[in-house]
Amino acid sequence: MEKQEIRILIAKVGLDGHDRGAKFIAQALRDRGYEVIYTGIRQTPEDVAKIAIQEDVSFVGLSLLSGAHNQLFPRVVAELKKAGAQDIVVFGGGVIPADDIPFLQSQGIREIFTPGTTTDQMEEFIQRILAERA
Amino acid sequence: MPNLIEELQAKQPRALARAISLAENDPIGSAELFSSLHPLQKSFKIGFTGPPGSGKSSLIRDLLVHACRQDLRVGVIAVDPSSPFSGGALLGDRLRMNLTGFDPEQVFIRSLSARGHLGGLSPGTILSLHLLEYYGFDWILLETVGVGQAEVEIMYLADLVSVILVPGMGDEIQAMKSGLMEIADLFIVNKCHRPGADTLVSELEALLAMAPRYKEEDVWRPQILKTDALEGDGIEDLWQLLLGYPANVDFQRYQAVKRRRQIYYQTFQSVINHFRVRTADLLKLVALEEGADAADVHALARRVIWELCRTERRSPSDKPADSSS
Repeated sequence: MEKQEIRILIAKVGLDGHDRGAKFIAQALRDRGYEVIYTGIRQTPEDVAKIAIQEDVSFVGLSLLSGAHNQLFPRVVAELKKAGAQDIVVFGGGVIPADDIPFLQSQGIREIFTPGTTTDQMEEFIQRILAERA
Repeated sequence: MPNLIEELQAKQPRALARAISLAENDPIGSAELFSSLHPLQKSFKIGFTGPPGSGKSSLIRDLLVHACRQDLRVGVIAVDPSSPFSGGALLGDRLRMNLTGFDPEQVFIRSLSARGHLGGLSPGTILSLHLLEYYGFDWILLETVGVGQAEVEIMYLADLVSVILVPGMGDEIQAMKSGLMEIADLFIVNKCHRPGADTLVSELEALLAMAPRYKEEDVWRPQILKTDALEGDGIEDLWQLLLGYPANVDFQRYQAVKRRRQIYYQTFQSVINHFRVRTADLLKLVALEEGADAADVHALARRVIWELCRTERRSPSDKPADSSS
């Protein structure tokens, strides 16, 4: 058996075109040995769910800086659930007010990373989820 | 994993994605597991290869737009390189191919990491291709990593290899070299509005006129097409050309010749894959026993080969399916 590589989809939903954060995260995860698929900007939540399934990822990381996270993030989770892919873990990042985080978590987004998060913290999260499953 | 086989037989979309992961992660087990799956019809397999940034993914996107209008079902495998340091990969072909609101039953795109494999594809590509064919896609588009001169593996998987070139990458001597330039069944000169595109086309024409290979019988003579993937120029011509190939008698004759080489190579790779994984596993054990600083690598290799042969015979699952004993 060869090494089981961990695949992560980094996605930009909605009309927000600020992709530096998403690209930074994609590269940081690549440098830590993950296989990262990047969707590019302006994806619909429905398309992100379809892509996550076709790419057979374990995680979907959503990046948003426009303020529409309360609308768009839960829709990705709902679309995955609709397709029977609720095992795919969704996390998010961007300029997200602390007050919104409990709502997003109640909608099935496992973790929200706000500005100032280190890549170490992100990897700890990923490894923690993987350890829970093993 | 009997469930996966049942889900594959039911052609569930998620099962295909999972099966490809299994092909990547466990080449030995998956080759055995999927051996019962036989496609009902042949897919037309088109390869896209060429230097990084030449427009392979963008051309595929343009073709996907056409395919969606015509109800053609298309599977795409796009390979990007893996890091020699972290082993990770940034798979960024797909972002150029995304079609808003696509139907996942009609268009299936999968990004693969090369996982250290040289040659332009990845260790799991051959099996992934067979899985897509089993799902009955009309076309399968195979995109290699951005290549240089020596990555010719795509010729052993694709019915038609299109080599994507862009102007300004060297003189005619570069075009005359062995390797990549010889495997083209179709040359696409992309970014054709850039200076030097016509020069490149005439260099390719001269190359084809001079090579004795193309004068032989049953040899396919590549066409040369100019495109601009972002502007959409030449895409209609490319689409029509590709649609016409499978029914072309010369092309069919060429496929029959090509097929033998492909079966040889794919079988060879399947065997190599098996022993590559087993060797890696065994080497860990043997190296552990012998000490990591064993001086004689050839002695260590003989030890591994001996262990391989000894343990291979013991494994009952490796008996061929049609063996009567």
